[in-house]
Amino acid sequence: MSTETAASAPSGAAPINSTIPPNPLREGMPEETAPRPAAIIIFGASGDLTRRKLVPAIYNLALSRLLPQGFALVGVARRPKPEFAAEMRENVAKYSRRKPLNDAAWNELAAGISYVQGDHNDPTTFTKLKEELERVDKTRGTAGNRLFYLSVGPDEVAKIVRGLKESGLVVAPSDDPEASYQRVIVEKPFGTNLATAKALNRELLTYLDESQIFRIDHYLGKETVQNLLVFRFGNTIFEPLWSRQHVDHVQITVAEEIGIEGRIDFYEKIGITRDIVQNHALQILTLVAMEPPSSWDANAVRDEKVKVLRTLRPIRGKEVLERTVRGRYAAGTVRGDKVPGYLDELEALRAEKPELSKDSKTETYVGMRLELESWRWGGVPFYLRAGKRLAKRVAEVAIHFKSLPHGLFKDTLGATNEPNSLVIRIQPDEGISLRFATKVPGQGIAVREVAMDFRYGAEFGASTPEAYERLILDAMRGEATLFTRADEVEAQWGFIDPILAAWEKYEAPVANYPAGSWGPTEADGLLVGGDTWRKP
Amino acid sequence: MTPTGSGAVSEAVSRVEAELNAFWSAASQGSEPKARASTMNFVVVGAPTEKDALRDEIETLSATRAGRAFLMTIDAHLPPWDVDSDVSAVCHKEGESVVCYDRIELDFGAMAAQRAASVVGALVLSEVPTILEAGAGAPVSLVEALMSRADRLIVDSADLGVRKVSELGRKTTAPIADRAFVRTFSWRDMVARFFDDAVMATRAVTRIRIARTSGWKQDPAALLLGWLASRLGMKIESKESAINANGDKVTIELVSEDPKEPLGPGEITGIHLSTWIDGVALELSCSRMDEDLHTVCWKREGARVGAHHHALGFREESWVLLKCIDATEGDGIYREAVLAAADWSGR
Repeated sequence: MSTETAASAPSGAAPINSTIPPNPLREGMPEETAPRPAAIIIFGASGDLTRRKLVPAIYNLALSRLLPQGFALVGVARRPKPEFAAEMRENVAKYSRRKPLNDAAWNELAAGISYVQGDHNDPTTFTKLKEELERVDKTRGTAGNRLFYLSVGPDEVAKIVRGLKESGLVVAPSDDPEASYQRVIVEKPFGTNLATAKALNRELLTYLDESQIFRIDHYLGKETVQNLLVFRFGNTIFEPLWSRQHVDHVQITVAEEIGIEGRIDFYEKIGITRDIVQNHALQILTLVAMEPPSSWDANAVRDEKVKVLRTLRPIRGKEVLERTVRGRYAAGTVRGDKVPGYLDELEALRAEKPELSKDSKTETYVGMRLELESWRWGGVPFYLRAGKRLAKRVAEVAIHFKSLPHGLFKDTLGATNEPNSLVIRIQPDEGISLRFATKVPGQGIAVREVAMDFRYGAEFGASTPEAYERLILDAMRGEATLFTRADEVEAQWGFIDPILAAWEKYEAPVANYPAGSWGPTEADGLLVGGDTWRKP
Repeated sequence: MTPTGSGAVSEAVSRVEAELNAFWSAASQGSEPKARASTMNFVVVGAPTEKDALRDEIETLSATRAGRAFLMTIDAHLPPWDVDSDVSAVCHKEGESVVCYDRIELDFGAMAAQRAASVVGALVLSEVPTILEAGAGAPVSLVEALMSRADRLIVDSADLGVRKVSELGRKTTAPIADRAFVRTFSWRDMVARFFDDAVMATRAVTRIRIARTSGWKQDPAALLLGWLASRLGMKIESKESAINANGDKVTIELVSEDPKEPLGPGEITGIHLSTWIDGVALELSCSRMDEDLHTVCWKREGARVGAHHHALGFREESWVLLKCIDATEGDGIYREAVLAAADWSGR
């Protein structure tokens, strides 16, 4: 097709003004906040997270047409992977939430997939990566925009970021909205205690601006977790009840049926408090307890979350023994299967790995009674528990409201006088359930507890986007609301560190609980005022 | 399906209500309690011959946006004041609950159709919005009768034409979404990309050339032209010319190509724009590639230089419908685009 160039410039050909207005053709497009063309580079591309979560998430974004037209995916890892794209295709077919694999969408995505083999301790790896990214800028139109996903251990993060900086693969962000961007997603755990988290933050901030760092906690990408904010601040009827005047206590549960699944050496170093409580559980707590932010701006939301962490009354010294319980699963039955205890698994592995501790104190369960020192929440206990090999896989927040001031129907048939409760289910079976008393139809008065239930699956279909889809897309858009800020991570560690220290110092007992139960009976002692743990 | 016979309009409403009450009153059937999935009322109007396809559309939609669905037609074979009704429900287990949604089919005689809005008003779920779709072959009189009940109107200008859609738009304040407009998204996105780093060039476009395959009852170029004209501040003077935001003349050129596999009639095949920036000419083109008609070559020459190939991808109609329901951010833009398209089309 021929093009015709006018001989002389008409009146509109004046030099551009220094103030650039927005592109009028972008107005009203759903993609107004869509990512600009970009390459995603995954370090740790041969790992489990890449296979099971990251590439399937990127494929689902492609299938939903949410990726930009100019897109490339580059894997980086030590192992040679000549068939990286083909291997990823198999993984997507296996792990994608949407099946069967859509060949057209995959082929389109696969055309932009490549792999760079190399050790990130070796500077030539970054040279090779730079060449590859320059190539995809030309062939895929990725315009120098890069999102580096560091799916590696916490010890590797700073080395990679240094390598990226020294090789010129990341540069300081510009105020020019048209300038290319480079962002880095860092996987949890972000450090292993307050000191290492601070050191890591310091080092990252030597090479990157905070706006370029996206600390991921995939729980924040879950629909129900995000819905917590919509539920609280997008409705008028719940927020007035959301305070010490009406709430008796709050229970946050993150329970898993699975055990250590072969990751025992990892777990021996981490334990469930670092693995789940320091990040997921405390993040959920902040969303439940935070004040309304002034806007949906990333910093406005994160400011309010940090305030919650700062109002958490520290648990220190011997008080740790009264307000926390750590536990470890013993042999038991989960979903009808006999499973070994944690120590049995450790013992079995010791033959191969004699360095494993003979005196393990690693916790696979933790229960805590937390208090928030604020006007809204003063005096309301927040009970938090997380565990492996518990009775059921469930993550939920249960708001227990205060008891009736007067039991008008206390002698009525069926009346339990149970206070109302609101349960926000995060997984599985995402939804919200409100329990209240109702009259049983018929003569006279009989009362029964019923649940008013909202289920995502029923209203919007079962296939909601995976957390990683949302978070990767947000990082490409530069939207950081659902990512954790440096001060947030440090505040989380600042709360957890003294608990871990006191457990060690006072040799806190590790209570046993049978696999398939709801945790050690010792945890019942954490609850006050006649409260009991829910059995969801 | 439970056929419920035919009769006067109010009797039909009563019959449908009775059926719905019987269904939702679990105790009367002695079965498990049911939960209602209700995100919206979805009212789709179509030709009687399209009913099977519209049922499939409702079924697919209900999997992700469950609610009460209405399928409505005018049946020329019915006595003028009669209404045939049919109520059905789909239930599935969600955890320990049984979750259901219902579908109401109403075939109106020619006169009874005037009362359609009143019928829908009596039967909708009041807590959720009502989305009205003018489906394939929809009788416009029935669509117009129902518009007062709609919180959102979905049309397909590839079927109705932009002039008819703009007429409907003048009769309602409800936002309108257009399947044809959603289908053009990739084209619009790529045209917008031409200007992402050359915004001032949007004011100086002097030539628009759109190529499309012939043989479709509506011109697919109209909506794209309407969108370009409304966004770029152009004033259309005739089918061949307009005045741009700087007051310069814009030449509009349309090219017809024969449909060729796998492209059917009425498909856009290429867009070319000529403009200026900083006194330098800028030529922009985005055209399907001969060797792969699902891929386009996006190219800039002159003041900005670059070329890429992009797959256009394929969007299923169920996805297009979901976008029409959910993507409300472009409502105002669409209204301006379709008015400009109708203006161009009427010249």
